[in-house]
Amino acid sequence: MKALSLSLQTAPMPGQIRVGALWRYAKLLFGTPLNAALTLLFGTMIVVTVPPMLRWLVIDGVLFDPDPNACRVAAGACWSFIYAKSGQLLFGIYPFDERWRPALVCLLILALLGWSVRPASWTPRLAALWVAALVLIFWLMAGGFGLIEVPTSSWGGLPVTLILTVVAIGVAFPVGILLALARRSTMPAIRIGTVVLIESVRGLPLLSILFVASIMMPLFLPEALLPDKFVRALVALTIFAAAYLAEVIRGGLQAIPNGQYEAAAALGLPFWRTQYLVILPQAIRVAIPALANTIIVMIKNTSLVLVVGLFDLISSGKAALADPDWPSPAAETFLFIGAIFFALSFSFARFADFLERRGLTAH
Amino acid sequence: MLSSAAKRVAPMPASSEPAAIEMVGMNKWYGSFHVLKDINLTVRRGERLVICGPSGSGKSTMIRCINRLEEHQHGQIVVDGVELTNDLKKIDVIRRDIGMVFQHFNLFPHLTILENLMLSPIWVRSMRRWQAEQTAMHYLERVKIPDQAHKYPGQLSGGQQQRVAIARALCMSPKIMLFDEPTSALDPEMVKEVLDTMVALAEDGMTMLCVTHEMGFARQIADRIVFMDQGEIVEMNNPSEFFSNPSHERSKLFLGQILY
Amino acid sequence: MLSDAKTRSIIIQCALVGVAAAFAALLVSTTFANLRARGIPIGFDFLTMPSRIVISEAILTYKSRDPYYWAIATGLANTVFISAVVIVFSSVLGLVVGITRLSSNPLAAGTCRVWVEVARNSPPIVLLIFLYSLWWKVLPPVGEAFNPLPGVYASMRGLVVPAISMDVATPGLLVIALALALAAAGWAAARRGWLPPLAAPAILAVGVAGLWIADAKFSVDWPIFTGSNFKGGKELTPELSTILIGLTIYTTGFVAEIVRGGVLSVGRGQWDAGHSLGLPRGKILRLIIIPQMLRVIVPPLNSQYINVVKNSTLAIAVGYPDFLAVMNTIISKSSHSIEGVFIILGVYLALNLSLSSAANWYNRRIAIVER
Repeated sequence: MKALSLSLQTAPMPGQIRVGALWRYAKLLFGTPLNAALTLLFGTMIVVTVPPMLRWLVIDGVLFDPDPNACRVAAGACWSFIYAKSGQLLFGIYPFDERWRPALVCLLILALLGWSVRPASWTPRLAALWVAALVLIFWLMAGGFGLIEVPTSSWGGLPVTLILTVVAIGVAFPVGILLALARRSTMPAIRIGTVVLIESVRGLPLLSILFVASIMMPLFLPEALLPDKFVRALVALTIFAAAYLAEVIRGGLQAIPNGQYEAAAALGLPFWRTQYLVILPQAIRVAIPALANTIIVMIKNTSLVLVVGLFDLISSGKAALADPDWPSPAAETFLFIGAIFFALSFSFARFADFLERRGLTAH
Repeated sequence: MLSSAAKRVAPMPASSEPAAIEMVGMNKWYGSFHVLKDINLTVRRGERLVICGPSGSGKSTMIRCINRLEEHQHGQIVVDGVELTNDLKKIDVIRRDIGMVFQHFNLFPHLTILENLMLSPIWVRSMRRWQAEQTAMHYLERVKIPDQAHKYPGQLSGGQQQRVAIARALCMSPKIMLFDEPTSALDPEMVKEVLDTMVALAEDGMTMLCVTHEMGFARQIADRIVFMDQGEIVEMNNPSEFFSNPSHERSKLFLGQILY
Repeated sequence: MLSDAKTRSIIIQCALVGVAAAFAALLVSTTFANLRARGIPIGFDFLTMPSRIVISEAILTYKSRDPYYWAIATGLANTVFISAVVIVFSSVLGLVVGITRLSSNPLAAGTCRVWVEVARNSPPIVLLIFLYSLWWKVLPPVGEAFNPLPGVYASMRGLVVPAISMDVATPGLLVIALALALAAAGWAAARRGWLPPLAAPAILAVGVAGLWIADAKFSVDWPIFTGSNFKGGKELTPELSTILIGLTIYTTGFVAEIVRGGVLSVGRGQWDAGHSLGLPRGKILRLIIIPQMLRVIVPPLNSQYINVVKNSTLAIAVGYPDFLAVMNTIISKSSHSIEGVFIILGVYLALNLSLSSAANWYNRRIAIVER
């Protein structure tokens, strides 16, 4: 039935061969009364909204003019502000002459992220690579050993967003694996404890966890041990990520048939070796699409750290807008920041789709 | 009930070999369901047992109790002089000495054939890598598929996969081999290659327990046939007696159904 | 002894519980020591004291002389209000967008796809801040208020929408009528074993009858433009409007994907099977397709609704006083941080738990429907 209708659609009538593509589009747009109505509705919407938007964005916009007054006069968007302030937007209040360091860090993290989502590169060597990269990143950011020292309070912008994401996920991943295994444990005390922990964290908004972390940590810990704002936010993000990753990995574990456990047991493999050699490699492969989704959620979530006073992309945008010389083009700035987040998470999502389609996640 | 089941059990064939497996008064329940009722069975070293019976009769559960994939609740199982209890060390020792082949092969899909075979020599027997590889290739040659060593399980046919599973179990140099319906999940044309491998193994003197419906195979290699129904051992006899002259009503019915 | 499976399991569990308890004890004792050192009292007595905090906007009536518990209730009401409105609007919009994405019309499907991708790939907080920054840029002053839908006006001062008020003579009767309606629905569903065709009209009829008995009067208060101001209707500030619009746009993207997944999850074979049994399209849809679709849609939809409650905390980004923002103010004002943290955790867990138990109840119901 389906094949028949398909062949009818793809075989054009003799008279229609020339107008092929055009005819097909016209048919899709106006072929049925419903489609014609939809075309009319969406067409009107696009005609009403898109041209004024384009006029504001491009035609009336100020692109590169370094004079702030050009923006005051123009009717359109003030891109020259973004252009002039791009360093501050991306790297916050990081010392001007040292900006090559956070730039390098961003490139490094993005390259490593892209490399790591390929199942082919999933070897113990990858973990070592990440540890080495993290040491390098902290050295580049914080300085020392020949570089000028920069305190975490001066870190800002995109590198903060990326470092928070990567470190939180990196630390949360092994913790998440342990939590997932604990939740499937046959020991009731461990299982119940884990369920309560995971579900409480997943039941809370990240913002409330960030607040609680910044309110409670000074009370929990003696003053001397109190970590700075950056580490506090990192701890909260890690706890949050661990709970979500635990559920994703548990989903992968549930997909592993019982026969795999039995075969490993029959071969005499003890519990931890069974997990490490047989179960987890398969479970994580199954979970790759969900893992990619969690990473996207984490990239988006790190934008919340501005609420507890860290300088991520949004805060550095707000700081840049405070410059009295410029006419404070807030919409353009947040559009720019939104575009950065969009680019990061959209490309990551497409990459995950690609992996899924290639069947790399299946065996 | 218990005593009547015991009476039906045929006497042991006289043999001087020591016992490889001994089950005495073994019982198992799934919740309130009594899966195995008072199992008494002694397997001599080098003996080849074929266990048959209708589905749900508890035959798979029984052999899975031998390497503790299932826990029995009452009675005794002694493997090679070691009694199976909650003691994890003893369970490890026993599992090392028993190889098992499953109905659905249960190969590890993320590892190559060679890696599947090398897993337990390296991680359980603490062999060196090159040694483990030699062992693996040796057994792959014995099951006649050394050329597939670097493929993944998913690239092999069912019959080949099951032969790999047999080789994987042999790599632990086990004293006992358990087969849990090894040919039931195979396409008919692949049954023979797996059975041939098992016959070769039997001729080498391996102690074998096979749950199978392949009656030709049973007639060819079995020293004894164990017939189970509803969780009990109903009849136990040598193949010629069992096939030509089954002593129990239930065995007659079963043979009638399976042999047409 | 240590290698015995059961003994070992008990020892491991005791050890872990012990470590957890010791850790908790350490945290608690340090916390109390820290609190004592700073001279901060502990207890929930402060809840009845006047709060003297300012809540810029509230659904309930609140004055700064009111006690703390009322301030908390006001914040909570704001959160519940935002969540409820966003859930309702994004469900309806998500259904439309999700189904339109499956349309063969490339213009319609494409536009909806853009919506979904933007929503799914941008952080909601950036979306909110961006929309908020647009408010004064795009919208006209009150005098030239923009009128996109009848009764809805948008201007720099916010949104004005029609207010719906219900005047019930005896609220008790209304409750009885609703209970009757629900009972009838449950009874019908259980008896028929599937979605009863007359359930919806029956519930509606019982409800309307109940309202009639209770002598209820609905009134819609349409806003009227008076030249410089609005009379009647409900005015929403730019902050509240931004949150409602922003979170609705955001959540709609996710709901649309769930709906689309649900529709695609029911294979063509089900339609073919239905046709081969001689069932008409409507019956196939109601008896075969929708029940299967619901089973796929409800669990992710529920976690999306929980996400709405969580995302409502982003109101803080545009300065709207939701529950978390109010609690944050209370904690910094009263220094009752421990108590405040417990209230925060308790309230969000309770909100999410009640949402998921409602979904679980519904899930069980459609599981019966399916059989």
